[in-house]
Amino acid sequence: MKIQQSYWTQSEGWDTTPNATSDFNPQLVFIFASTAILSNHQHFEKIQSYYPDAYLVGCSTAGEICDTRVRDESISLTAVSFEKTKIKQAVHRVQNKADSYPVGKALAQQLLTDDLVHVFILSDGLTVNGTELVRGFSETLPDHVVVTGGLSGDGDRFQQTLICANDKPSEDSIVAIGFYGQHLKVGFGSLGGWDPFGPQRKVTKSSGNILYELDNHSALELYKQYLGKHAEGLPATGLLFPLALRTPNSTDQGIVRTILSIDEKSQSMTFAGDIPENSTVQLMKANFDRLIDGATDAAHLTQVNLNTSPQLAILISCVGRKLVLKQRIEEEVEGVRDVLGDNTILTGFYSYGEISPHTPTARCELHNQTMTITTFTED
Amino acid sequence: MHRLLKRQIKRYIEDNTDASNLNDFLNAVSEAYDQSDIDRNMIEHSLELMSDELNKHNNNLQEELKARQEVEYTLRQEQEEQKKLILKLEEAHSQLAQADKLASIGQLAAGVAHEINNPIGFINSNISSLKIYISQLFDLINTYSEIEEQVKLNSVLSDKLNTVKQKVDLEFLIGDIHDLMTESIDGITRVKQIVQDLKDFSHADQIITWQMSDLHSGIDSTLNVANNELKYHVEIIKNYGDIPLVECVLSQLNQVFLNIFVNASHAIQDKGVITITTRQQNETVVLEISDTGIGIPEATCKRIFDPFFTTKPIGQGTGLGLSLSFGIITNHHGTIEVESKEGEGTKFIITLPIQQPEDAKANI
Repeated sequence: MKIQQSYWTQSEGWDTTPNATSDFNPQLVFIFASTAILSNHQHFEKIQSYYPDAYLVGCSTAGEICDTRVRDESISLTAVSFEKTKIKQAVHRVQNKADSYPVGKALAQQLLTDDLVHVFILSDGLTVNGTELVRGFSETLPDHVVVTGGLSGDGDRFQQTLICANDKPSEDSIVAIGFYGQHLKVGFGSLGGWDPFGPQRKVTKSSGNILYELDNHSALELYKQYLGKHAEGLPATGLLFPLALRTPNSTDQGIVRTILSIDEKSQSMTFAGDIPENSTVQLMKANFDRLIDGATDAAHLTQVNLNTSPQLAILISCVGRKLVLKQRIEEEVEGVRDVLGDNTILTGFYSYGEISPHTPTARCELHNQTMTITTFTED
Repeated sequence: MHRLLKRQIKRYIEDNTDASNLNDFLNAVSEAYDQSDIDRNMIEHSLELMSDELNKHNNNLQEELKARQEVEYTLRQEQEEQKKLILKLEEAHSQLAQADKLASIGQLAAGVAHEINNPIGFINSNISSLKIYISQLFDLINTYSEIEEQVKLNSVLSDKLNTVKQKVDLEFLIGDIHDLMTESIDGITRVKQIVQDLKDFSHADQIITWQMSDLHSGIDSTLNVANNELKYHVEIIKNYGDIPLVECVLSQLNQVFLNIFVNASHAIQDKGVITITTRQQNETVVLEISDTGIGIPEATCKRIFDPFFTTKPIGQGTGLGLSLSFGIITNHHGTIEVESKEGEGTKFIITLPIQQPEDAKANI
């Protein structure tokens, strides 16, 4: 596996101009950039001219990761040339949330062959119901094929997210990359680091990923109380208080749900994943050290079945963490670097949702507020 | 040095030599301070809200707990009442079984009395006839004796007659037959009376009827029935006054008298006296039955007319006697009261109207 990485900013331009050569002709290029930059198609066309033979795959973000730097309003570009691994791309558009599950199934079926080892997906972050999309994939793919990826972001604006799939970036899309062959070793790990606090509350009214009432009181009102004057900043400031969700009958530690949008008219809040009625939720708060420890531990998880330092790591971390950690955000990326070592190329973005199993043996799920890492190594 | 400050110095000062970066550095530091304030305020605000919420939860839980405890207390009380009720029912059951047995014995006694009545009748009638016949035979024998003195018999016949006379001891025979007849008539009269009293007492074969009755005869026949219970240790003193006939169901009043006599007899531990006093008082008749027994404690006194209340061991008293008595006297539009002093004795005072109100004689 050969990798070329570069970044672009308005003030500096490209740090090193991306360039395909006779001994470096990548099949896959990851492009992570802000919505504004991706909307400018000139950038896409330029990149296409640098790597005319590659799948150009990427999305809009709430922050781009390039090595251990986290930037806003930049392009993080990572071109990968696999030596023994084959890849295939599948794209689908989703017109409304209800389509998320069948689209997930359809994409998985397009990619599924005997030698499929891993699927990496990037999805629209606002229109798609991530929980249902992941269910569509999980139910179609065999157990040994793991799905990882994330939902695209739009800073803290929650207005427009874009997906790039070998074509000009567009909304409402999902792209999935299938990786084939026995020489690719994939590691993955996902951890949060948020602490639940306050009373446990019962979900008394909800529909899919739309939450109306907790303990028979307006959930939106509760958030406004806790946010105080920061309530004006909803939905972004809602990320400061994600929800720890435990479904009825579940015995595990539960998953974290983060807010995507609010609707004053119906007094509802839309979350990045389902909030089933009768489940128990608890507000969560950030603890800087534990967030950073969470990222580090996620990196450790990717190493569970791999002995060597990986060649490529895609870090997908939640926008909520960035809003909390602010100037310290790079500490979590540096934590990952410390674990994976200096030889690993780090790329990734801040997202509206992360897709991965919690642990190597668990079911794939949509997460929020986590650092989710997928590592690739070719032997 | 704080990790963030280190990072800020590295980014804005060490990695850059541009002078304008000092401003950026200061801005970053200031922003970090501001953010820290915002974060701390938010945490404090959250803490306050959370504390309020948890207090409310706590209060709700406490109220819930209190309500539950109250429900539990009520349930426990109900349970205890039910336990008591079950115990009472068990007692009542055994007492009813006992009462049933007593009723059967009463019916049996009435039946036996009825069966004995006929033979006693003809024995009585025969003895009366026999008495007349024997008297006539004695007249005949006397006549024979007179004739014997006037007619000179030959010595053979005279000897034979004297031998028989000596053998049967005619003098004694005549005297003793007279006594035997008198005793037998007396005995049979007593048997007749007992049978009649049993029948009167039980009235098992009679339809309840209101009649003008002689209470003294009712008391006497009841004393007769209870004689076995009383005769060895109780002296009966009758202070009968001049009372008119009383409109009543006498068999029921007899039951009341019997209950009082039997209770009095039980209260008299060694030897004692039952005094029966009767008198007329305006339109009523007053009967007082007092004993020289052990008396009744004050607390018990209030309850003696309660159904199933008894101080006797299970099987010996039904606990129904005095409550039934109370019912009977009430149905007669009379009153029954008790006066008692521990160690001195008990007095029952029964007051009965001589005439029952016209429309109130049903439902006995």
